[in-house]
Amino acid sequence: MSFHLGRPILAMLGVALVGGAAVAIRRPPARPDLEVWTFAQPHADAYAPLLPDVARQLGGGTGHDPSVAVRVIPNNALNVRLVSLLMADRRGSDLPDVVEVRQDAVGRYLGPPAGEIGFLPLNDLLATTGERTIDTPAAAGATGWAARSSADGKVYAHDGSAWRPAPSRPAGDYWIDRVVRARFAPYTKDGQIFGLPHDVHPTALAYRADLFAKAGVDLETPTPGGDFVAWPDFRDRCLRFQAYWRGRGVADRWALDLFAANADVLAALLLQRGVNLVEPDGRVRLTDPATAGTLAFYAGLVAGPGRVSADSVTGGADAWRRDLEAGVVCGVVAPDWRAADLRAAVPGMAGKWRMTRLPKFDPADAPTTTWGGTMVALPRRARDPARAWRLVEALYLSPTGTEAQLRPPLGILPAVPDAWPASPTVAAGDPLFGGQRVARLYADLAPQIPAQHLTPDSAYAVAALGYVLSQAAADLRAGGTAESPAFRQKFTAWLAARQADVERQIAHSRLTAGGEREAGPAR
Amino acid sequence: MPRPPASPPPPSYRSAAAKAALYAGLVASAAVALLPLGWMLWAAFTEPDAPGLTLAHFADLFARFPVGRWLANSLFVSAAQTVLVVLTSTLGGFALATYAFPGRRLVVGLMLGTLFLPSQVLLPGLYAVVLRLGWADTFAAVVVPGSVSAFGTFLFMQAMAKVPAELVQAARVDGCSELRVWWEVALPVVRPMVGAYTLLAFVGSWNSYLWPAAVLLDESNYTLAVGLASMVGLPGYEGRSGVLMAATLVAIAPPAGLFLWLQRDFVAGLAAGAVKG
Amino acid sequence: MRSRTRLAPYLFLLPFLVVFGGFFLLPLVQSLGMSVRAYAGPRASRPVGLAHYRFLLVDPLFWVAVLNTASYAALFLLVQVPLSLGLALLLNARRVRGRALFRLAMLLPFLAGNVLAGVLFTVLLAPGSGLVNRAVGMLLPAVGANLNWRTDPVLATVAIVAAVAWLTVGWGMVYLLAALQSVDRQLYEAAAVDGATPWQRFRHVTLPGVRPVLAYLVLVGTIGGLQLFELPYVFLQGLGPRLRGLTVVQYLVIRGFDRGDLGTAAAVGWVLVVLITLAAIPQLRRMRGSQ
Repeated sequence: MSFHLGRPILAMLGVALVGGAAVAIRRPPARPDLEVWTFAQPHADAYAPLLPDVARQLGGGTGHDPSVAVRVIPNNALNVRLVSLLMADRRGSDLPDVVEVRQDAVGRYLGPPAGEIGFLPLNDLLATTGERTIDTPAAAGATGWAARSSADGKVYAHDGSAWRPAPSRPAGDYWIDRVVRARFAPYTKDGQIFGLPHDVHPTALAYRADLFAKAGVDLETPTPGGDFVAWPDFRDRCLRFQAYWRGRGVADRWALDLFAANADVLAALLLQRGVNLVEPDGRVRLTDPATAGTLAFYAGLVAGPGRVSADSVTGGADAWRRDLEAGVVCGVVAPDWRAADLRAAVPGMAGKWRMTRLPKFDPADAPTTTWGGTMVALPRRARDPARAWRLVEALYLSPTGTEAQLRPPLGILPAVPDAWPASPTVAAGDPLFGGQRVARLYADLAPQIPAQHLTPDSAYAVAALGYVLSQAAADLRAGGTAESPAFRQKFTAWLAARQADVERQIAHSRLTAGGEREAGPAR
Repeated sequence: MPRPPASPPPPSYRSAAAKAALYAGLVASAAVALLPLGWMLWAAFTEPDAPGLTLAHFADLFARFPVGRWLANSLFVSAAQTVLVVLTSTLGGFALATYAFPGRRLVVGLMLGTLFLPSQVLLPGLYAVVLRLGWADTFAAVVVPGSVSAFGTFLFMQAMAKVPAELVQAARVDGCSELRVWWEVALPVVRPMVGAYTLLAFVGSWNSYLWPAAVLLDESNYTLAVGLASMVGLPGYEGRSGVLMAATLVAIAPPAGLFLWLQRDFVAGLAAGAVKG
Repeated sequence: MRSRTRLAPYLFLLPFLVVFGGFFLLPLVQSLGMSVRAYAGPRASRPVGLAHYRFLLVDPLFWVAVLNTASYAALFLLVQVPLSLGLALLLNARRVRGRALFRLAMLLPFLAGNVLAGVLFTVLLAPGSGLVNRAVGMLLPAVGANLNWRTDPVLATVAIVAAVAWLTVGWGMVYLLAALQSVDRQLYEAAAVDGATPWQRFRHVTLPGVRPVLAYLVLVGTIGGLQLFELPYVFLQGLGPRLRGLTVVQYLVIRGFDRGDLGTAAAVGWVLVVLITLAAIPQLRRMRGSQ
C-alpha cells in the first residue's frame, strides 16, 4: 500500500514525531536563582566580572550562594516579552527578578493605575536601606548629607566643609536621599516609585578641537553679556567654522550632527528649557511658545541656508564612524553614553576632541539636559523581591558596582553622587579628549539636570514632534525661510494639529488608566 | 482535416530580433529573481575585501545565536503543522465533497464567510484563549491553531468533488471502510493537489512571524523567522551582512529543498486551481 | 452501511470543527468582545462601548496607517499584475526552450517569505556595501553608492514595493501561465485568419481567457496588501521615514503587544475586516458576474 499523502508528508510525520518526543522529554533549562534582563550588551559586559562576588554576598556565607545571571535580550523583544508576561499575569520564575527597561519604553509600563503596574513600588525599600556610612569625619561629602559613622555609631551631617555630629538627625541618608532625586521623576506615578535610575546621563557637547582651532573659531567663550554661549551666537560660530573650511575646498564638513529625522535631540534640548512634552498632569506642551520657538530654531540648524548639521546618524553606526573619521561631523551632542560611543567608534582620534557645555537659549535654562536612560525595576510577582533588591544594591548601588559602570568602555555616570568623588575614573583624564577630565565635567553637570517626566504618551508626543520637525525641515530645504511669516503660520498649524492628536491620545489612554479591577482576559 | 504542412518560417530579421528580445526578457527576469539569492550565497560564503570562500560567518552565526535550536524548532513546528493541516483538510474536504448530511451547508457557509478574514483580527482573542489555556511560550500555541485551515478544507472539497461517485460506491461494495475510501480512492485522485498544498502549508508555516513572535517568549523557543527578525536591528550587524546572509541561507534551505522535491506537483496543483479560477 | 455513512462525515470533520471552533470562531467572538473593553493590566478591564472605534476614526496616525496600507496595496497590484502577465506571455511564446527552468527560477523567491525578504533587502540595499548601491554608484557616479533606502520616504516605498514584487511576481506568473496554456489555440488561429493584429488578439482572445485568474490575483493581492506588516517592520526597523512603515497591522501590533492595549488592538482588527470586505466585495461581485 502506498502512502497517498506523498513522501514529503511521511518525512514530516517523522520529523514531527521525533521533534515532539524531544520536546516532551526535554527538561526546561535550569533557571538561575536570580536573573537580570538587559537590552544592552555593554551593561552585561560591565557587570559580568562582579557576579561571582555578588553571588557570594547574597549567599551571606551560608554555603548556598544563589546563581546569578545577566541575560541580554534585544530591546524590542525584551519589551514585547515583558509586556506579554505581565499581561498574562505570570509569576515566579517566569519573570526576570530584575529588569532593565530603556527610557523610551518606560512609559508603556506606567499606563495602568498605580496598583496594577507590573513593577514593585520601591518607596519602602529606598527609604529603609542603604544608610550612608563614613569611616572618618574626613570622608568626602556635600552640604546636607547625613551619615552614620562606622567608628562611633553616631549620626553626622555635612555642612559643606566638614562632617559635624548631628544628634537631631535620626539616621544617615538612605537610598531615597542618596540617588539623584530628579532621576526618580520619570519612573514615578501617583507618588510611587517603580524603578531605580541606572544613570543620570548629563549631556554636553563634544567637538573637534583641532579643526575648530584651525578655523580660528572658539566655541567656549560665553556670549557677551552672559555667562553662557547663546544658541544664535553658537550657530553663527558654527557657520563661520563651515565657511572657513568651504573656503578651503572642504564642502562636506558640518559643525554638528543633530537628528533631523526624529526629535530625540530636540526633546532633550526642550527638556533643558524645562519643557516635558507631556507633563505629569497630562498637559501637552507642543504648542507652548518655548517649544515652537525652539523647534523653529532647531529646524533652521538641520536644514535650509543656516544649516550647521550633518544628518549622519540615520545612516547607521558605520556611516557615523566614517563621517567622524573624515571630519564630516565635527560636533556631537553627547550624554555620557554617547561619549562612550564616540570612544568606541574612533579610538584613533585621541587628542582631537574636546568636551564643553551645551549652549543655552535663555539664562533660565538648565546648564545641561538628560537624554536616554535605563530604569532598573523589579517585577512585582517575581520570586523573591527582597532578595532581588539586595542584588540591585550589590550590582547597581555598591561602590564596586558604580565603579564598574563608570569605567570605560561603559563609561556611564551612576545616579549615586557618593560614587563620583571617590572614583578614580572621575579623577582621570580622557585620552580621546586630550586628557580633559570629561567624567568630572559630567559629574559637575549631573546634579543640575532638569526633571524629566514620562507618561505612556510621552513617546507618542516625541514622535509627533519629530513629524513636525521633518515637515519643517522639508519646507526649509524646499526654500522656505525659518524667519518668514508664511513659515511661522504653517508651522503653528502643524504643531496645533499634532497637539490635538496627542491630547486625543491621552484622553483615550485615560480609558484604561481608569479601569477598575475585574476579570480580565487572562487569569 | 489535416493542416497543410507549415512552410519553414523565413529567417527574417524580425523574428530573429523578436526571439532575441524574448530570451533577453526571460533571462533578465530570471536574473532579477535570482540575483538577491545569489548575493545571499556570495555574501554568506565570502569575507568583504578578502579573497576566497569562508565558513566564518556560519561559525559566528552558530556561536552567537541559538540558530541550531531555532532551526530544530522551526522544523518541528512546521512539520507538525503541515502534517496536521493536510490531514484535517483532506479529511474535512472529503466529508464535505462526498456526503450529503445535515449541517453541511452551515459548515461550508462558515468556511466561505471566513475565508478572506485577515488572521490579525484574531490576534487579541486568540492571545487571550491561548493564555487562558496556559500555552504562553509553548509550541502548542503555534501548532494547534494552525492545524486546520478553512482554505485547505475548501480546496480539497472542490478537488474531491471530482472523484467519481461510482468509484466510491464500488469501493464500499468491496467492503472498504469510509476511511479506506478516503485513503484508497479519494486521495490518489487529488495527489498533485496534496503535493501543492503540502508545500504551501509548509512554506506558510515556516515563514509565519506575527503569531509565533507574539506567543513564543523565550529566545530558545523562537522559530527561525522570529529569531532572524530579532537579529536585524542588533548593533554591530549593520556592516556585517555575512552573518545575516548566512542566517537567511539556513532559513531558506528547508523550504527550498521541499520545493525541489514537490515542484512538479506544485505547478500542476496551482495550474489545476488556476484554471478553475 | 447507511448508519456508517451517516456518522462518517461528522467524524471526518470533527478535528477541523473542534480546532476551527476553539481557535478561530471563539477568538473571533472574543476579539469582538475585547474591542468594546479597555484593559489596564491583567486583571483590570471595563466596558467602554464604541470608544476605541470612535478613537480610531479620529486618530490621524491610524489614518496614516490606512492610507499607507492602501497605497502599498495599490502599488503592489500595479507592479505585480502587469509583470506577472508579461512574464507569463513571454514564457507562453511558442518554442521557448527551458520553460520549466525559467519558471523554476522565477518561482524561487516565493519561498523566502516576508521576513526573509526583509532581511535580504536590508542587506541588498545597505548604504555603501549593498549590491544595489554599488551598482548605482558604478552606473550613476553622480548619485553615489550611499543612497539610504531606509531613511528616504520615496526610496523606502520603492524598496518595499520592489521587495514585495520580487516575492510575488513569479507566483502570479505561474497561475497566469497555466491559464494561458489552457486558452484554446483555435481561437488564436481563427483570429489570425480574421487578420487580427497582435494587440487585437491579446485584447479579444488572451485577456478574456485569463480574466478569471487575473481577478483572482487582484483579489488575493488586495487582501495580502492590506495585511502588509512583516516586510516594512523588518526592513525599516520602526515606523520609517515620514511614517512610511506604519501599516494597519503594524498599528495593531504596536497597540496590542507593545503597549498592552488589547482593546484598541481588537478594534483595529475589526476595522481591518471592514476594509478588506469593502475592497473585496466589488471584486467578488465582478468575478461572479464574469463567470
